[in-house]
Amino acid sequence: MNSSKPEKTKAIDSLEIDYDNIDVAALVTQIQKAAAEAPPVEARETVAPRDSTSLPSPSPRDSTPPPPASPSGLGAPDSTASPPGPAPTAPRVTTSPTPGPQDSISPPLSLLPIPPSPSPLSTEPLSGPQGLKQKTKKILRKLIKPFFPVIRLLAFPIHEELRTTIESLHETNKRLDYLFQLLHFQEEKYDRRVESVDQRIDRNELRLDTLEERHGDLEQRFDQRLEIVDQRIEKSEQRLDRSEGTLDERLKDLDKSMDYIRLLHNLDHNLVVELTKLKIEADTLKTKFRILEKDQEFLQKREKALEERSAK
Amino acid sequence: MTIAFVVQRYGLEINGGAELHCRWVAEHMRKYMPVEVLTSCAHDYITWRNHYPESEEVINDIRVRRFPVTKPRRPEKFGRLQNYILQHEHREKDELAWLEEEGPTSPKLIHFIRKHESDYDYFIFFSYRYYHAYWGIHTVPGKSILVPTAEHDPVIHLKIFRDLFRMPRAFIYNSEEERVMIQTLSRNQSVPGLVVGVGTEVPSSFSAERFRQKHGVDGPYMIYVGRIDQNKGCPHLFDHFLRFKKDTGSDIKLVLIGNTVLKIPSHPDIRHLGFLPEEDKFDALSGAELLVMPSFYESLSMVTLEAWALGRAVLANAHCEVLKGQCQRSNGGLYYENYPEFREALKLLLASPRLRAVLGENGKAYYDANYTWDIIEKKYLAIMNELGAGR
Repeated sequence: MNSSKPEKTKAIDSLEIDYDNIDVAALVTQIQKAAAEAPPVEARETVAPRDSTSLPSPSPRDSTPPPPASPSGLGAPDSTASPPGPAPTAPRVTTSPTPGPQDSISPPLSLLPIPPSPSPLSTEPLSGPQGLKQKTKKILRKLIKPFFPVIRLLAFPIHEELRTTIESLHETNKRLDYLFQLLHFQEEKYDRRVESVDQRIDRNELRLDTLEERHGDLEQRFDQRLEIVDQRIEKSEQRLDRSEGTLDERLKDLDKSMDYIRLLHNLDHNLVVELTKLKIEADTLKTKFRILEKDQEFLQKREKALEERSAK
Repeated sequence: MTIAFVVQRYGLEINGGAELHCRWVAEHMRKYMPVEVLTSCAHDYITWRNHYPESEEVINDIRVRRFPVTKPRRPEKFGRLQNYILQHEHREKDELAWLEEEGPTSPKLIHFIRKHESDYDYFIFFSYRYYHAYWGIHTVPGKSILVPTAEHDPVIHLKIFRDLFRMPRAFIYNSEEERVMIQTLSRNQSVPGLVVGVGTEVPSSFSAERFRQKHGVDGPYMIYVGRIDQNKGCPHLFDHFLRFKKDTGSDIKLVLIGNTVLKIPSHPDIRHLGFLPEEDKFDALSGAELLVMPSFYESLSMVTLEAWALGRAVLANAHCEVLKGQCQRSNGGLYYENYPEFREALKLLLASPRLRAVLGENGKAYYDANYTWDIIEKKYLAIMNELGAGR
């Protein structure tokens, strides 16, 4: 506590903290928000300059086309020496001196065939109708044949310039062909990968469906078993209740029997006591009878004696 | 009433979480009733090799009966078995084979429990995942109380444990999260259970200055106490700490206390002091700015409670639900899920001594309300009385 006059609420690094009633969950939510908003340090550290020789990624996220190359750039004499790396992959539309199928390229590029580039110095017409036109050309060529040396002399510088330009354009064309092939190859590769990923997703979805079904099935089975167990428990409880009732009745009967037995036992006991008393009394009477017999005997003897004395 | 505490290892020099927990509870319950401890002869928790003799001894006035381990654990085979049962469909037989390999396999202990069941009123088993608890509870289910010390560990999902969790007479949980996890897994709501946890022995005096002088630590430092291990999230801690230092230029140091099974990065601001006595540990905790707990799996985290007992704030790994729940319930610590959150939370804690103090106070109040020994003892007695009344 370093503050001499603490405030109730204080903001630290834009977080609102109520010190008197701190709520960790709310505070952590604020921290999570701050962490999400903070610039990712890892990204700053790991973003390395792109390799200048690498091709731009053809991924959908990076689909913004690069700026079109200037015609002067394409015709630069050193363009043939440079590696075909950082060159833009925009479809060539205006640079080819030879109108052909490539000039009408429209996406998707990968579906189009790549025609071979014509030789830049070919004297043959690159394209054109046959027949009348060729005959006219032949006649004209024959007519102007005597003037060829003069024409060559006059047209040589222009011819040289044209030749250089065509050469340059040819090289550019070759480079574009290479890039086009590369693009085609990459697209095929990515298509294959996308297809493979799609297949994997399909397989996983199928698996997920199976698992979900299995899960549902298991839950159902579990519920059924739970129900069976519940029913069994209920039945057992009912049986227990019934058994308890029977047991209660039998216990009552048993109690009655016990009372009766107890009564009989008391009776037996009393009878034994009475019999014992009677036996003792009988013994006493027997003894008295014996005494009386003896007394009588004595008296008879005395009577006899007295009679004898009186007779004397 | 006589109680037997059944635990995998026992001894004054054993500092594993569940084992220490058991010893402390046993020593405190001794005041109320005769207490005995049934344990193995093992000391090392990796192999469970017999270290102590098979005998009876008295430790802090408690009779301790030790039983030999017949089959030490073979870590490689155990690892293979564990991988197999976690990654493949398998049968209950395989799980039992895994349990036997995990150990500590001590059939004599189980025979003793069976033979002397009538000598004890209750058997309190610690740590659900070991041999002694599984077979012990199967032997005396009617008298068993389980302290599961369960974490979010993959093996908790094994079938044998789901069945086991429905067997004991009662549960003593370490945290609310542990209770919810076990009840969700095993649907054992009908088995009575109480969230109790464990107290801690806070020394009467501690001194941060003494620690700084003794170990040559200066400047502000945050502290980690515990085994320095992959499972405890230490590699992440090192990575986060070093990145934090690099990003913020903070002068905070990281002090590590505990035995290590990892290579600790060599950095002037990371100090590993090894295993320290309790007194030094509390001295170190009292001087720390905060305790950091990067562990992914905890069933309670006694060291977090110790930090709160001393009024220290805590920064915990939110991937561990127990630590996150404890922080939320106590309002005594912050938690993070990834490095940006770690950075922001630590920055905030270091920038605000007042916040640290308030979190520490909240933690202490939470500790006093739930984890003092009086309260723990009462809860243990309450559950035993409840079971006794229901007999």
